[in-house]
Amino acid sequence: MGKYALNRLIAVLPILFGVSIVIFLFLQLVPGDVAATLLGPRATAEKVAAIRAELGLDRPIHEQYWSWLTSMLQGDMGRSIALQVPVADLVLPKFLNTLILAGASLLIAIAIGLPLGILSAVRQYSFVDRISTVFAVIGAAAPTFWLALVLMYIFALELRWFPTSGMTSIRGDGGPLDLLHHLVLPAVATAAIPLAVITRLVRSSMLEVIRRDYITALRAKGMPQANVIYKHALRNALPPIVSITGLQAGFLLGGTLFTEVIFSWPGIGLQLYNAILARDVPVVQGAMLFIAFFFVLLNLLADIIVAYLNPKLRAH
Amino acid sequence: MRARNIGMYALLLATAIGWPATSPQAEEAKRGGTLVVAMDAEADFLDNQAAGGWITWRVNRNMFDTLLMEDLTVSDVDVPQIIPGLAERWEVSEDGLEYTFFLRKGVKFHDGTEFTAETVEWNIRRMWDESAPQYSAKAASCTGFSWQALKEIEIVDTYTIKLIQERPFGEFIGKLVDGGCGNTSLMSPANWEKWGNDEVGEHPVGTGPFKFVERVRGEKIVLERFEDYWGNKLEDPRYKAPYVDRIIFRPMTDPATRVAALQAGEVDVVWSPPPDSLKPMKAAGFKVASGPTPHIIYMTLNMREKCLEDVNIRQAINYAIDRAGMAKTLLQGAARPAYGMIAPGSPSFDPEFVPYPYDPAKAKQLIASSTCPEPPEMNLLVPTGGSGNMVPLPIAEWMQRNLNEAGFNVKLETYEWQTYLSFWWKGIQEDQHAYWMSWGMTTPFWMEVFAHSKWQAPGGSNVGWYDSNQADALLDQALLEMDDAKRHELYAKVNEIVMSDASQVPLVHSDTPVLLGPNVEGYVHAPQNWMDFRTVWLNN
Repeated sequence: MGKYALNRLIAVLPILFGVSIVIFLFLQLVPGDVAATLLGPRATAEKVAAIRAELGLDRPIHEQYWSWLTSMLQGDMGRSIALQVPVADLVLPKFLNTLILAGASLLIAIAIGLPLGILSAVRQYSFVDRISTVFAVIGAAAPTFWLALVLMYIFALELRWFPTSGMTSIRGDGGPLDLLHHLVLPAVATAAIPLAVITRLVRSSMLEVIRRDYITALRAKGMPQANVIYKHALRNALPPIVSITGLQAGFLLGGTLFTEVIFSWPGIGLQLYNAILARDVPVVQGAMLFIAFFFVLLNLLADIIVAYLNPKLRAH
Repeated sequence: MRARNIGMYALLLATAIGWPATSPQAEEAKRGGTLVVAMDAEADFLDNQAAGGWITWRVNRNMFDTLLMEDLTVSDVDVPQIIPGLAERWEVSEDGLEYTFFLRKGVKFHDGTEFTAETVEWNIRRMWDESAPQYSAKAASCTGFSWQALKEIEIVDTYTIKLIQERPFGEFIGKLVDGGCGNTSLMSPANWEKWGNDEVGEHPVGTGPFKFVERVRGEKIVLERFEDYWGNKLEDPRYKAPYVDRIIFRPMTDPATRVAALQAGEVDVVWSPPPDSLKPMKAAGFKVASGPTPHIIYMTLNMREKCLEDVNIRQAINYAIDRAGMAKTLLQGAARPAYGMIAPGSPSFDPEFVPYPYDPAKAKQLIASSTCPEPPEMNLLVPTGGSGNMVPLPIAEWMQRNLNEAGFNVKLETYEWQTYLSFWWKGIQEDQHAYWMSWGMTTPFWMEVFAHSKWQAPGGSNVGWYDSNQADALLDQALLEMDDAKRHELYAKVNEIVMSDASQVPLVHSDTPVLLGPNVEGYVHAPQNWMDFRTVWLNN
C-alpha cells in the first residue's frame, strides 16, 4: 500500500510540472499589455518599456518561466501587479474561504447523494427513484448562477431565512454561527451539480453490483437486506464512487466561481475572476497553480482510498 | 449574453419583491451608525495620488484632502463650486504664473503628524520631481496634466507655499481638484517613510474626515470618523464632521446581488445599479439619487481610415444614432442623450447645443453624396463592462442597429475592460474604425485631452488621430487664458469645431444613479462622478 502511494506521488510531479507550463504559456496568449494598462492615459512608450523591464516582461519567455517557477518553488508567489501586495497574501486566505465553501458543498453532496443513490438503486423505478432522477437531472442541468439567484430570491429575500451575500455579517462581529448562516445558500447552490453526479453514479454503480450472482446468493442464504446492501454491495460499488467524488471535489475548487460571484463569497474563484479582469498575471498564475495543485492532490487521495478499498488495483 | 441575463434577473428580483413603501419624515439628522456601500468592483490600492479609477477615488476622497476642494454638499448647482481645502485661501499673480496657497494651521494627519508647507512640497515632488526619493512614476503619470506647467516650488513660511509656473495654465485649479486616475491630494510623509511607494497604498494616511481602519481584499474596506478632523472646528457646513461613525465599502461585482443585498437591508448604498432596477426599486420604497454628472460615453472615429476621412460619412454616423431613444428606452432614464463632447457639470456645457439630431434620412443622404457611397464593413471596438460604462453591449447593439438601418455595415468587436484599455491607449489601429470610451471631467480642459493633436496616442488620449489646426489653436489659447469666462467660451468653441468635424460620436451622459435604502438620509447627488459622505445620516 505504501509503495503504491509513493508511486502515485512520484507520478504527480510531472503532472504538476506540465500544469505549470500550460498555465504560464496560456497567460502569454491573452491579448493586451499589462504595462500600458498600469500606467494609464499618459503612458509614453519609454514609460511602458521601463515598467515592462521592471516586471521582467521584456525577457525571453523561457527565462520568465524559469524565474517564475524557481520563485514559486521557494514559496515566493510574486507580487500582484494591480493590487501591489504579495500574491500569497491574497491567494492563501481566499483559498481557505473556498475550502470552507467547497467542503460544505461536498459534505451536502455526499450526505444526500450517497443514501439517495442507494435508495434509488435498491428501489429501482419506485417513486423515490423517479423523484431523485428528476432532481438529479435538474441539479446537473441548471446553471449554477441561475440556481444561486433563485435560492437567494426565495430564501434570502422572500423568506428572509438567510443573508443574501458575504461570508460574515458586515455590521456584526462574525463568529462560527454567523459563518454557518452565510454558508448555507452558497453551499447548496454549489452542491447541486456534484450532488446530482454522485446520486446518479451511486445508483448505477449499486445497480450493477446488486445484480451480481454473489448478491443473489447472499440473499438466497437469507442474509438481512441491510447487511447485503451496506456490507457487501456498497463496499464493491464504492471504488468508482470514491474516484468520481475525488474528481468532483477537485472541480468544486474552481466550480465555486459562479457562487462566489453571485453571493460575494470572498473565495479564490472571485479573486481569480477579479485578477483576470484586471489582467493581474501573477495572481492568476498563483491562484491557478494553487487550484491545480489541490486538484491533483485530491485525486491522488481518492486514488489511494480506491486502492485501499480495491486490493486488485494495488496488485497491478 | 450573461450580462443581459443578469439584467433580466435583476428586474425579476426587483419587481417581485413587495417591500413596504415607507417615506421617513424630515427629522433632525442623527449621529452614529455604520453606512455600508456596495461597490461595483474592488478598489485599486489606496494610494490617493497613483490609484486608478473613479471607484477608488470615491473611497480615497474620504481620507484625503486637496489644497482646494469641490463642494459636493449641495446638488442644486450646475458646476461644483471650488472651495478652500487644506489651503484656507489662495492668490494668483496677475500674469497667472504664481499661485500662493495660505495653508490652514493646526491640521493633523491621521497618524498625528502636522500638516505644513513642507508636507505640500514633499507631496508635489512625489508626483512631479523625478529626482525626489519619494517620486512615484505612476503618481506622476496619473497627475501629469495638473503639473504640466509647474516650474518651481517655493516655501514662503511654515504655512505659505508658492507654486511658480513656467507659463499660464488657466485650468490649473480645475485640474488640481480633479479625481480619477490619481488626485493631487496630500498624504502623510511620515507614513510614507514607514511603508515606501510599494506599501503605502495598503496603509493610507491623510487628513480627511475619515481614517483608514482595515481592508480585507474582496470583502471590505473599513473607514472610521476621524475625531481630530480639521473641519470639526469650523462652523461652515461645507466642512462639517460626518454623521456616520463608519463607512464600509463592500465590493460586489454582480449587479443583481447588490440590489438584493439592499433589499435585504445588508447594505445601504448601491453603486451602478442596473438601469432597469431603478423604477421597481423606487416603487418599492427605495431611494434613487441621480442627476447630471460630468460623464460621457462616446465613440472616437479613426480619422486615418479611407471612408472616415470624408466628413460626410462621419456626420452621417452622428445623424444616424437615436440617442434620445437610447437614454429613455434602453437606459430607462438613467442617462441623457449626449450631443456634444462637453458633459453636464462642466462650466462649458451648453444644453442647447444639438448639432446632430436623430435624422436617418439625412444620414442616408450624406452617405450617398460622400466619396464612400457604399461603406465597407466597419469594425467598432467595445468593452464588455468596466468603470462608468453602464451596459456597454446593449448600448453598442442599439448603435449598431441604428447605423445599419442608415446603410452602414457595422461589426462589434468586444473585449473585457482592462484588455480593452490596453488597446485603446495605443490608438485606433489600421483595420479598425471606432473605439468606445466612457470618461469626462468637470474641467473643460478635458477637450484638450482627447482633441489636441499633441495628445495623439500612444502617450495621449487622442486615439482617433484627430488633427485640426483650428481646434489646436483654440486649445492652445484656452490653455493660457486666465479669465474664466473667456476660457470656458474658448473650450465651448472647440466643442463646436470637433463636432462639426464629427471626429467623435457622443452617445449618452450617465446620470450616475445610486440606490439608497429607505433609512439613508441626507445623501446629495452633486454634479460629479464621486460623492461626499459627510452629509449622510442613518434614520434607524
